[in-house]
Amino acid sequence: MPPTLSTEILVIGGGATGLGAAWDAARRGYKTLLVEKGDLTHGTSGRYHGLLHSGARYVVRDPRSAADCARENATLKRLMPSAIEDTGGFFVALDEDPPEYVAPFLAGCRAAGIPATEITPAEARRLEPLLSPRLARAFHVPDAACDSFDAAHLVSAAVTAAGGEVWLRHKLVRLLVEGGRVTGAELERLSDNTRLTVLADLVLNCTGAWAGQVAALAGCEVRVTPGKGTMIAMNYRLVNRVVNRLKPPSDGDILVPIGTVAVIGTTDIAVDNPDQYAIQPWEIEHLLDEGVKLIPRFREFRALRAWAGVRPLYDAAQGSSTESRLLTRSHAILDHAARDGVEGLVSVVGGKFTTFRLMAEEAVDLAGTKLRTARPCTTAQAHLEPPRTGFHVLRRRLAASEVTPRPPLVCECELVTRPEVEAALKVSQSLVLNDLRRDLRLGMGPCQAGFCAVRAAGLIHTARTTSAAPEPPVADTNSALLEFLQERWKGLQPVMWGANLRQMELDLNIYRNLLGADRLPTARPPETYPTEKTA
Amino acid sequence: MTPPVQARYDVIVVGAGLAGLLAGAFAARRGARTLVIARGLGGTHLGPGTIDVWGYAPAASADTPRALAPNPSAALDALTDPLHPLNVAGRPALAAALGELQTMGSEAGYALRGTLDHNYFLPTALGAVRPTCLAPDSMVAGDVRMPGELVLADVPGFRDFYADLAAANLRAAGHAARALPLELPRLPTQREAFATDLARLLDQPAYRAEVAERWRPHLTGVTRLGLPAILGLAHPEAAWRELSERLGVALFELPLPPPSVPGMRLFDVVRGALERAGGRLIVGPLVRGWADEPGTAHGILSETSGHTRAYAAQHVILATGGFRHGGLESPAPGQVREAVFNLPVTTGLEWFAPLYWQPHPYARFGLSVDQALHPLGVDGVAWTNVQAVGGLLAGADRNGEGCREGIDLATAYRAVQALEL
Repeated sequence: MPPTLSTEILVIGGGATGLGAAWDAARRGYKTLLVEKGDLTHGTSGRYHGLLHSGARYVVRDPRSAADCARENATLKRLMPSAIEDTGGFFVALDEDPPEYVAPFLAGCRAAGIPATEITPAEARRLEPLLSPRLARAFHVPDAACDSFDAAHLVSAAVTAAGGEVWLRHKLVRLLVEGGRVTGAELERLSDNTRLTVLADLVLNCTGAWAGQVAALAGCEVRVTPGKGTMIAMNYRLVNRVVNRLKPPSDGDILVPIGTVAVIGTTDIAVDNPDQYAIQPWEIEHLLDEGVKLIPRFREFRALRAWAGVRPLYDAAQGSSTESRLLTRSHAILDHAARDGVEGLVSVVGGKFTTFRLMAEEAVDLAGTKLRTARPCTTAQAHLEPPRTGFHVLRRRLAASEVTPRPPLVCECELVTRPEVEAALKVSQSLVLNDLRRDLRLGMGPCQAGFCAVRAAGLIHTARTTSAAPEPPVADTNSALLEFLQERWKGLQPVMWGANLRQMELDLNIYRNLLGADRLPTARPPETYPTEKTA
Repeated sequence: MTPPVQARYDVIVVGAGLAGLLAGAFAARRGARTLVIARGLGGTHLGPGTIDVWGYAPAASADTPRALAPNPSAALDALTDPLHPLNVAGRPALAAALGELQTMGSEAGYALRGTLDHNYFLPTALGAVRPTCLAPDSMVAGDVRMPGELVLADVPGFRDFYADLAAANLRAAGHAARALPLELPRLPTQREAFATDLARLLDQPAYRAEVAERWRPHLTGVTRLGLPAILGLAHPEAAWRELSERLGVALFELPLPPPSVPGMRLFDVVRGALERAGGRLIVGPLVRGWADEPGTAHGILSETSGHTRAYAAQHVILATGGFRHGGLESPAPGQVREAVFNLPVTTGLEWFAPLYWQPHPYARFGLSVDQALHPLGVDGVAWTNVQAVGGLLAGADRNGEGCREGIDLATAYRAVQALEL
């Protein structure tokens, strides 16, 4: 019999929605446990462009989502200022964009309570000099840039502070269903492959694009259409404000400044399986073409990396539309007791990063009703202090590295110091270099881990070598290194030309030729490495 | 309009990696007025400082690791592809080039050991084993087939070598190995210590004496000691010999990621040979081809800020490398061009494998040449006085086959031989 624990609310999923729900539930006094199969923001929250929506993007087609975004935009800026750069945003119409879109756009902004102020094209170009001279109209809106890694860390720390627990690298094996009621879940702890049983009064399914798979474990059908969105990070902060095209939402019409880079997004393609999707070459070409329309010199800058996330688009009508962009961005809270006759399970579907707090509030409201212990939500009034001051803010990392005595640097692209790596290794106990990347930005700079990955592998092996374990299996360290470089390769291959190809040649020569890394013993065969095939 | 001619040469080599420097040195040593001109330094500073001729038996499948080849000569007997650069150049050119490079090394006081029928199996900084044909004195004692535990120095404060990990990997492969912490005095404090910093310190006899004094008490029972490759830049032979003697152990170096100290020594050896023979080296300008029409070059144009200079030449040898060094450029997805004369590039439809560690088809892209290494023009007709050598050539996966420097040597030699100077 696997060990059994019990909790009041079990949250499945460590993305923004699940973290928000666990935080909200813990603040309301419920005994709360969150489980996540990977790291924080392992899924879509960590593969997002970073735009904290003002809501203006959705005012014409999806007014409810727009109004939700507008409220939550203001709330989150107050709630977690350390994770948000309040850049403001522009909606700009080029001379080719439909002028008739402006009137419904402005009417929608008014209806949703979004302040949209027109400025002259000349003023817009004075503020953003790289923008196209073909601007016809420009409006300022309260868009902002949000670092989803920082936000997730803030909320995760707040869950713990409120008495809840967050278990990473715990995989849901099955839901326990007894007499038409979900009573808990069986989990696998991935660090040692042991099984655990958690009994829960209520299970909150916050698994985003995977919500259909989880609901199916209780025999419930939830039609979630994974909507693949591809993005490219350009190696330059091309704009200081979020820039949107003023036209019906389409591919490649958002440009978001994030730290030292700018991210252009996105495409939107319905896919069958949230774990298997490929970035197609045409998506990259298309995004770059759209980038050139906004910023004529766009292609002169280096595309650092491409990646894709899967939106958890909820098909309320169960199959009425196959066009991903036409599905609503709004969320829905599904009570499977009312819907499917299965008690003890609530699914949170749809929605966006910007509205994660609101989704959590509504989900825990429903949980309170179902548990007959309704208590008011207090997350909108909270203030999340950073538990660590901004790994992700370059000037802070610069300041941290320019002290006496000077800490040794592991990654000079992103100014990651050895004490930071060692501290992160202590906390996470993780053998996944990709988790260090999310924590520290290790390997995210121009050299894409060419020089730092081998150092990180060395530090990992040293950290694993203790008096209790004087000979840790080296194959695990090697796998961590090889899988990390394969993970980097996934994002690089779609943008592999020019300087990137040159960089790859340098990095491959280091790892494959000079170090012979591909011939080291590994814990897992190479065909199990994460891979995204391009067609 | 062509700028006035700055100077006239018998041979102009474009590129200052191993292939370019060697082509220049071979030409200069045969009496040709020779210029080597390059945008920047080449691959020597990025590589291990050894001469790989053929390292790996072909893998059974894309997913199985490459097997080590103990005998490059025998492995080359099995290489039947007539378009492989090593076969285009031919075995006599390879053998002669190895001999002449060893002579250059001896003249510079930096012996390169080895023969064409033997590979050393040397440990890498991660503890894998890499095969190589020629290696300096300071590396050969690391051959994993030799007796004696491989003790690897873990230098605190030096971030580019992790002895624990390397020793663990060597042990996992069945070789006796362990890490031993050994401190180096007077590391830089205001910035990271690079291998080049440590090498310059170890060039000093007094520093070596101090290190030996500190380390000797820790070396009881140690017969061979591996260090990251830091044993001197200007006086590597003296640094290795003297420290070995003072410590009473067989010292061997493990090559590191760039900047490569042994690679810089190799650069110095060949550059010295070039300049002693009267050749000239210019590093810095952007180099473009100078030809009125395809087929024959007048020389090259050298672009620096504010100036373009013309250099006339009887023969131009392109040693500009592949994608890593700028000889090949990919301006957009799926596109490729040769950087100097815009020569046609032999490519394929597929560029990349899905896994990072698999052989990538683009590695074989490059120039197709005739038997004297003249590149073929768009019409399939060879250029008359232009040749291509080294990584610019099509038909080899230099990382995967372990033949990077072998191609540099053999094609540089063959190109100069074909000039009949």
